[in-house]
Amino acid sequence: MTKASERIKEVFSHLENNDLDLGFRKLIDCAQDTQNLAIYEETITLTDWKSKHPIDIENFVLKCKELLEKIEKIPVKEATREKFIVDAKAIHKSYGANRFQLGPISLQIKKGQVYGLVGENGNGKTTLLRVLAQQLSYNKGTITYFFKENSNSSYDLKTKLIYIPQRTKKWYGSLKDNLKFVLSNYGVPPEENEIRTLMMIARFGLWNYKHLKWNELSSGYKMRFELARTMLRQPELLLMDEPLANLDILSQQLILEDLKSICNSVNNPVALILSSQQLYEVEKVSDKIIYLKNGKYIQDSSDDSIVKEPSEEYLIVEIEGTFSREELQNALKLLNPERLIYNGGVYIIYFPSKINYFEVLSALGEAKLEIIYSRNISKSSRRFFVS
Amino acid sequence: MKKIIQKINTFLIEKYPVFWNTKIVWFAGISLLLHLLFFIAGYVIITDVTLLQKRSAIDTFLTNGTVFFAIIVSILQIIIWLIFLFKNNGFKEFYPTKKFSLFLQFILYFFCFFISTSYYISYTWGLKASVLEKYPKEVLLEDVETANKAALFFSHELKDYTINNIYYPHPLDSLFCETRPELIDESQPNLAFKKKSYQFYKLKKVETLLKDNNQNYNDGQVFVKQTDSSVIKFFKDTVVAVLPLIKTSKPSYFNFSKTFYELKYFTDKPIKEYNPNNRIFYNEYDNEFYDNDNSKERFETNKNGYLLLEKKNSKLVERNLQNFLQLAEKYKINNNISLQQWMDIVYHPDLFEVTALIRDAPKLNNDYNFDIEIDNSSEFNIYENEIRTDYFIETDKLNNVFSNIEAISSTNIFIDAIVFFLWIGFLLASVLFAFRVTGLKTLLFAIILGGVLTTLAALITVIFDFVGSNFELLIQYTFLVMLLIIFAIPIFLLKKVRKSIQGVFVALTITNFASFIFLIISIISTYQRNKCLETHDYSYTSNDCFVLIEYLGYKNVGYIILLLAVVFIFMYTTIIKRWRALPES
Repeated sequence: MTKASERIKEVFSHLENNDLDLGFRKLIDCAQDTQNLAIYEETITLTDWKSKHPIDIENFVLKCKELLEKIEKIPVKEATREKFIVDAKAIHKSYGANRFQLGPISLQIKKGQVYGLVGENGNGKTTLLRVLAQQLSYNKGTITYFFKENSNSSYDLKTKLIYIPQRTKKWYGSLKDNLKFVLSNYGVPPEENEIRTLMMIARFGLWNYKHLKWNELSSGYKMRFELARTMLRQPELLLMDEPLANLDILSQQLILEDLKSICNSVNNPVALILSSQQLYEVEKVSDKIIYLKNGKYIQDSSDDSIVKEPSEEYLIVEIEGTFSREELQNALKLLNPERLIYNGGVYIIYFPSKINYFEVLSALGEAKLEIIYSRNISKSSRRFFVS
Repeated sequence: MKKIIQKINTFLIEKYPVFWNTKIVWFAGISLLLHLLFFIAGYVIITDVTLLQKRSAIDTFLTNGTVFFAIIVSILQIIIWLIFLFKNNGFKEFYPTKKFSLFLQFILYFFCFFISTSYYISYTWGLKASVLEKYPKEVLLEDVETANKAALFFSHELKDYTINNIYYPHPLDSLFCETRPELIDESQPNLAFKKKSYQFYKLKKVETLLKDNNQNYNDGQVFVKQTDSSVIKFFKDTVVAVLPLIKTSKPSYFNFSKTFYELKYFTDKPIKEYNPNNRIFYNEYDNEFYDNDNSKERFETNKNGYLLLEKKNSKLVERNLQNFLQLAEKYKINNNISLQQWMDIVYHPDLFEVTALIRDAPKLNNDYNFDIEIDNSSEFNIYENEIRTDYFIETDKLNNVFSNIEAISSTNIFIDAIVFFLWIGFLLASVLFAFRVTGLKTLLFAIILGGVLTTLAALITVIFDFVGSNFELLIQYTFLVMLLIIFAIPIFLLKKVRKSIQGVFVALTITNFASFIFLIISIISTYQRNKCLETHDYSYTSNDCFVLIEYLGYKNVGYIILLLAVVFIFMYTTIIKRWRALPES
């Protein structure tokens, strides 16, 4: 089964299970994979129909399925994902003597992959992203880009390095005009401009807002607009600094899911590096986590090629509840916890690696402690955020 | 209407994003409409003929307040345009921007500024179209002839009718009339009227080669003619008794030889242009003789008047005066004289002596004669005042009307004024372009650095001037070196210097390249002038030297620099793109 067929099957499944919003977004991704303007037009018509008939679910599902069947018939050329899109070797950035130093950091990323960049504030996440986007110079090391087409000038290269800062730029005029302006600058033929723009508007749920101005949008929709604008540029490498900041939890999940799906496009996969403080959300969609501490890269344990850190010899559990430290210590006494750290909100407890997480939960249950929240963070980058 | 606008916008945004971004279609459309309005305003304003009676009516745009209105319109228009323009900037967003596309942006800014600041051209064009339609050349020539025929009888100034004005019959046109009292030889034949003496001399000339000329222009000659190779000095020779040749020694219409209005543009005669190798130096004390250069014209005028008067035909004189009064009515020239009153003043067929004068402006209530105040002993002035009547004809205003019609009809507004507005457009466009490609902060720093460097250059020049260097060249070289350094850094050391500092140099280069070319032309010219003056003696003025800037003419220099600066901007877009892609330090 091809990747395109898998994605279509997944959409059918969402539709069957009545996950209509998610299903429709993924349907648009499948439609975009076809690069077929007739399919685009039908998708746009369906989006418009959906906005006019928000409660006619039965017919909507029917129409979606009809469209999916048409999409299924169009062969989709699968893009190669084997080559690295960026290869950074021992890059080092210094802000001056006795000031913050980043690196040396080496990283490689392929198209279709998502890298999560995490770390406490002031540890070099933005610096690394900006260095990779050629927005900041670096002192040592090399960065090589392997885009589909060679760049004939430094400006040309910059047009391919798409960096979205935490605070996105203010935009003026209607959303649609701004998006069309992107496409015309990228030399998209006039007859395709409207269709491709509307397609992206539909994909990011901006259909009902397309004639609004940027400052009339909420933070979530501003980010959606930014993503739409970015994706119209057909990036091969996307660098995003804190895209989840200022978004509610639902929007965060939505944006991350969208990003993952878009990066995973069949014929136009994107390599994405995004920084965020939303560890668990990012971990869910990332193929790899890059943890920065004092400008140094601390590798994720999931990467078998690296030497494991001493912290990985433990079972590390995060617990929050309405109990005292003594009560907790008594409850877990038999499991011989080696360290217990309380940061005012949650307890982080280190157990010997032979202990299983369910044994911890069982001990807590037996002691009848009121647990609000618990998580095994032995393999999460959360474990690095322990004071 | 809204749909049409949307349709055009959609077409532009999809096909011509730069045109959509600059809003050129709407901006140019509004500007053209405003140009049309200014054209109509210029066309309509001339309906009032009294406007032409003022001096330099061609500058009405500047004198009647229209200029302020136009400035306000331009400013408002530009501000609104900039608000729309600043909404998008694909180059700063790193959207693919071709070299030509960036240059096109600059050209569109240039066009927008030019079209929105050049309403003067349309207004004056309207003025010209109106004048050409109302006062075609043939009509003007007829009217000038009518006025010139009647000018003999204007009778404004007694000195225009004294015997020293006589040029006809021959040989009176070849004689020099001495009027300076201290140079009148009383022992020789001379004429007098009201204690003013007139003595006529033959002239002799002494020719020397230019290179042998001793440069002493005040060795008693009446005037000096200089040609390519020689200097001819004219000296007074023998006194000529002119009494047998003239009708009367008193002021008479027979003596009048002035031309009321001489055509400047509507004539086959070449316009008298300054030629350093063919000129006349007049005796600086001899103001009366100053008009000798026009001796041929004066001879003709005097002859025509003389022959008319000799006929002693009142009908002919009356017809001249009648025609003029009709002309005065046509051009609304203020007067208070009737045909009969005028005839009574001028028509004395015996000797046509001037016995009464007509004012050239209405008599004021507190009118008094300045001449008498200054020189109350002058019998001539007292007499002149005595015979001056209260009649008036404002002939000066008619002169202005003719002059204005000729000037407006002949002006080539596109050639004369366009270079000025092109420069305004170019300067504003280069500042806007520098802002669009670098940013506000960078542009402000560029302005500050420009100010600091100018002050520094001035200081350096002042310091070196103390040690006696050539001030003009020194200041030019100081600026040249500074500009060269500013231009060279982004070109040769792009990656060696911080991006923010490079940005300031890039902004300065964009806005100052034109002054750099001007500086080079200026240095060449200064060098040529200095070299020329060094190698020639002191009689050589800078006007005599071959100087590039003067040879080309300031207007042409303006066009040449403009063209070079525009070409430079095109080539410099490569550097701008390279700078923009630089990472920050």
